[in-house]
Amino acid sequence: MDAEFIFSLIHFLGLLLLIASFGIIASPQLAACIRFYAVHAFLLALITGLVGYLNHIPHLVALALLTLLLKTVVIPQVFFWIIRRLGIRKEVESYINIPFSLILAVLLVFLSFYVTEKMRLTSIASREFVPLAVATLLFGMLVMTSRKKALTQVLGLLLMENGLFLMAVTLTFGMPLLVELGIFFDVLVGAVIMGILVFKIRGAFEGIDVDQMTVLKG
Amino acid sequence: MKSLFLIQIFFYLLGGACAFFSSRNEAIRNAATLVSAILAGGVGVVYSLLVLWTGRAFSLEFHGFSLFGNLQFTVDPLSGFFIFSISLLSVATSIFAIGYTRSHPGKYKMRLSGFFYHLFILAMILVVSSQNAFYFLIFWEVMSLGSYVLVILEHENPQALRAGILYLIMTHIGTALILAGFLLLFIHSGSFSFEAFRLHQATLPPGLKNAIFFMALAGFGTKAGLIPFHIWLPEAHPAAPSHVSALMSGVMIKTAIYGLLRFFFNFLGEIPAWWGPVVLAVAMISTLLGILYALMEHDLKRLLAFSSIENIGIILLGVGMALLFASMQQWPLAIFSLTAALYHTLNHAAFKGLLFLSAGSVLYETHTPDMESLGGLIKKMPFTAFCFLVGAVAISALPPLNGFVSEWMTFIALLAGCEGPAAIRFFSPILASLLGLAGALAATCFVKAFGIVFLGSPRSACVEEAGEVPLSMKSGMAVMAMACFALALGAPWIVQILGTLSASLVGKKLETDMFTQTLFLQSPSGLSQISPTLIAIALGSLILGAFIGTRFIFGKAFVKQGPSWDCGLPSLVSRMQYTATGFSKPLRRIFSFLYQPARRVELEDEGHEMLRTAERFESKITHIFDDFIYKPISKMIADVSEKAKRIQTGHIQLYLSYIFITLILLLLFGIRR
Repeated sequence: MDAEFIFSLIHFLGLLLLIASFGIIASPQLAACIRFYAVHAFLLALITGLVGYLNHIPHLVALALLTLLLKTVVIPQVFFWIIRRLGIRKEVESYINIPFSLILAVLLVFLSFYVTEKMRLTSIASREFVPLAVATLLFGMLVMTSRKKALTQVLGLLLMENGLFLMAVTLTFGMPLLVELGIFFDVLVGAVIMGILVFKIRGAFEGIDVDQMTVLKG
Repeated sequence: MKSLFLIQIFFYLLGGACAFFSSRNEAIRNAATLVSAILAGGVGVVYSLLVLWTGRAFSLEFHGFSLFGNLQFTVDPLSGFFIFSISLLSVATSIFAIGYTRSHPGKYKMRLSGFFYHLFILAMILVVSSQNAFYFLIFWEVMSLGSYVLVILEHENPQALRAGILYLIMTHIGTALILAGFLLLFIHSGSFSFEAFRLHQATLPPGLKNAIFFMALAGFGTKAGLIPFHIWLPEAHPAAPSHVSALMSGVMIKTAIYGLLRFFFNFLGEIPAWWGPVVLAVAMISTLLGILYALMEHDLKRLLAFSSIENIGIILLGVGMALLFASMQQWPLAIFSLTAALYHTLNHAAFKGLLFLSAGSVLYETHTPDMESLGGLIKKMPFTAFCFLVGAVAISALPPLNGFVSEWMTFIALLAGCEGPAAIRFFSPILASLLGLAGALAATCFVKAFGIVFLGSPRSACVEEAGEVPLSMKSGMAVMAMACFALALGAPWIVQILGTLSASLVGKKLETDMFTQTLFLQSPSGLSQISPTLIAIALGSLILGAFIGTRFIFGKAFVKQGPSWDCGLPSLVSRMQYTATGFSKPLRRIFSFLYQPARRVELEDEGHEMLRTAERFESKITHIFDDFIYKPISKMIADVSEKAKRIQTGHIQLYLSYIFITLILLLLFGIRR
């Protein structure tokens, strides 16, 4: 495959990545959310792998494989397992309804392109992907602020992490492998700990609605 | 001497470690801990005296982590002087503590208090020897936090916790100001080392210089308990165990004096004319108000704490005059004032340490600090009574003891202002007479303290079971009492040493025999001379002579014992005695504009005033700084916090959206630039 083709493929995958992000915000079902996250992570893995292949950086390929394993398989399975164990309602509960969230998301995409435009990025890859990464990050933030369930907040955090990862890969071809491994481990442990916390929250409040935690304030 | 310095540090670390790790046996651990503190103090006394005597500084430098400059300690005469006070007093308090902490091992939580006691003293030593602003601040914090733990040692007592929190807040406000002062110096000189501050002091712009001056004055003033930053002092000092109170009042607040002297005379270059008057004004207010509030206290340790505020004021009067004279280029007078201030610093450490230890003994035996329920202790604990008397005479600036010498020098310094420019000529006699007033009030205050606590007959049952304290506590007090005598008898030599030290501080050289003529001290003008040594000898022989003479002339028969005249009443009861409140009543009336005393009398009767069933009497005074400055401020902060609670809904999502919105705004702000 020649570089030109791979490059346009990466470009296309970036587009799909954005769509997957929109999917997370748009889907009313928790399970669908998680699946979209898995898709998102899958696309991320592909992009990482292709960038690594294109620039002949072997450790990026390794990262891609790790992403594939961890974020598209393990973490979604953990989520599904938590949902089964808790028997929680499948619908996403939100402060702002889905159409409005989507409008906000579109605005966020504009914002991210607007703010990165003036950064005078040189390479074409980074010019395309830095705004995308910022948008993913903001989407994660949006999910965290607008959703009620603790589980969706964890999802938002993971989405933000994906955004950061994308930024690192496309801007600087990834951080040193050791650092990346550390971050992966963090994400996994984070997901597990939050899973446990969600259990605890349910134990204490008989529900994982974060709203009820207002009674904790002084 | 370097090795002695390191040995001292080592002993403090060893003592701290002993408190934590050594044997389970309380008594052995206690002894091991305190003995190493005593040894450390002894070593400190030795090398600091050597430094003071020879005038040669030594320094130690540790390389390694040097982001903020190297960790460097220099013991020059000024540091040596403070190390001497700290070490001397800590020897006495540690001896005292052997007995003091033994009877209530649980109460004073030996492990904790032993560890932090050592940490606290060590931090003080390192504060005064550190040569780098960064490490100075670290040791300063360790010192504050170490003493904080000792203040809240009785954390079951809500009063102690409250005092601790107040102390913590105030000391951090002070530290923040000092930090700001150091940072300004850093910006100017580009380094944290004191050496660099010294090198660049001449080029400080005036605005910056004045800002640093005020920050240092307020920051160190908070630690020193200068009015209006004093409110923590009368709460925190009494809450700590007595041997720690002695250290806090005797030397901890003096580290602030050390800081002020370093800033004023080492870092800030040329001294503007108006700094002296500013310091003098603040010092005079502290002197007067400190002693006036001390007069109204009935809690022995609180009384002593307020009197510390007074003495800090007196020390700063000397410093203020020194600043004034230095700005006028009158070097001999500046050196003399500075000598007076340093001398009083040392004296105050001695007699306030002694008084706190004696108060601790009283507390140890009677378990109450309330003067209204004490009385007649001189018969039960004669040695403690004698020690307290020595301290009281010294603090009241009466000859033949040490307080007299340094206060005389402060008077001379104030009166020497009459030779200055017109404004100073007008104010300095006023200041001198106000200091005289403060001295008289201090005497009244300690007549009251001694009379009510030790004379008369017992006012409550707590006194009945009291007896003399154990030997270790007696020896601790004896060390400080002897120090009080020695500091008076050795006045000419001490003035010589401190004079040389002050001269080097202002960067001049002292001619020998400028302030001393064999056994006499003399003012720089040579007009007034006094010899504390001869006064002491004369007074001592007079008293001794009178004692022996009466014995010889009249024999034992001269003493006849009979019942006191009881006005024909059936018997004398202790309620007929003067009370502490009653004793201070005249002054409460004279100074009622300041105290704004409030009294409340509640009477209950059954329909007729002759059938009275209950009476309640309450009298209290207003602490104007607490009520008119600090309470409004704290109320305002509480109100603002209450309002700020509204944005704290407890919804995680809301907090997240605060972050979200901030992030977006910052992004937009970032690209606009």
